[in-house]
Amino acid sequence: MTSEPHDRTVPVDFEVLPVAVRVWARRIEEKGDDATKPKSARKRGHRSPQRSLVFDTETTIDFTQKLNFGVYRYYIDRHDSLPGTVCVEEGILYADDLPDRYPEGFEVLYDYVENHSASVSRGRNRRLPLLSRTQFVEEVLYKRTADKASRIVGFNLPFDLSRIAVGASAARGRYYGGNSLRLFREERFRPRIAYRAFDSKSSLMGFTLPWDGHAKKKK
Amino acid sequence: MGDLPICAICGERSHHAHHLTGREGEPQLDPDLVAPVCHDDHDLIHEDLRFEGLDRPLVDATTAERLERRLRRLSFFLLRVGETYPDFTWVPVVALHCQIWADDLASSDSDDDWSAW
Repeated sequence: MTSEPHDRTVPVDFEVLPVAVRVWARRIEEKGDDATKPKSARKRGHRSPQRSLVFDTETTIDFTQKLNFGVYRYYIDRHDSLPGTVCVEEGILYADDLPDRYPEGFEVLYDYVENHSASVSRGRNRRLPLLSRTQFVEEVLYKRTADKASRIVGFNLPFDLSRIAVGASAARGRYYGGNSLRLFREERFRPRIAYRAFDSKSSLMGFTLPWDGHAKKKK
Repeated sequence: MGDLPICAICGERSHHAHHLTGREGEPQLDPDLVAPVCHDDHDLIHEDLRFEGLDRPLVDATTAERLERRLRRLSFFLLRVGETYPDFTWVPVVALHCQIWADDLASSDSDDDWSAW
């Protein structure tokens, strides 16, 4: 008994699903082509290293969406390289009240940092720090970004920033119409972060002058 | 301009000399141990050193602490060289070993072993 090759296949009922693929496309740089470089790299003169703080937060799933924990990475890259190449630190932050509010969750985070190492670039410190929200805004967000030309990177960043804020008010000045987020409980010498949305996808965002900075400016 | 050495990291003309091992107080630990670097890469290297807490001069350091500092600073310089020249696979290996040796020094509990230095 002979059978055709197509007889060997077993008919299977399957459902055709649409597939979406998202890719990061990089333009191939040609010799003498400056268009692919960032504007800061095109101009002559001093070009600082690119510093980027990337972070994301996870929240409670009720309507308050309070901060539970978050993760961050800090990169220091050459001025002409692709940002996000050399990761020098990776860590986890947690809400100040998490150990009391959700001790089981905090224990999971604690166990994680005890048993895992950070995915940082070769030769960098592989210790995975576990920081409270207060420690994060002081030791990482402020020290690494506020006094330097650093980027803060995130998806829907105003939402994540608002999760680590301890207060908010209506912004003034160039951010008029937006929000001013208070990140530090003692903010005499610490800036706020203010943002104003242009549309659903873009916002103007930046550090404001600290209270003491206002005082000095008026003198 | 043509006489300027090339930057150890990017290959452009260098205008700076990076002291690889840093200072103890005002004087450099090794004044002649320098690498030619351009302005931008000198900034990058010192950004690394600031981040790692290796930019401030040592004060009243022991021999072991001085040697540890030398190795750590050298390590981060070599890491940047290795990132620029990925074909030089031995460079990051040397950098990592500098860190291992520095860790060994840091974990030694006494400076007595170094009295002969």
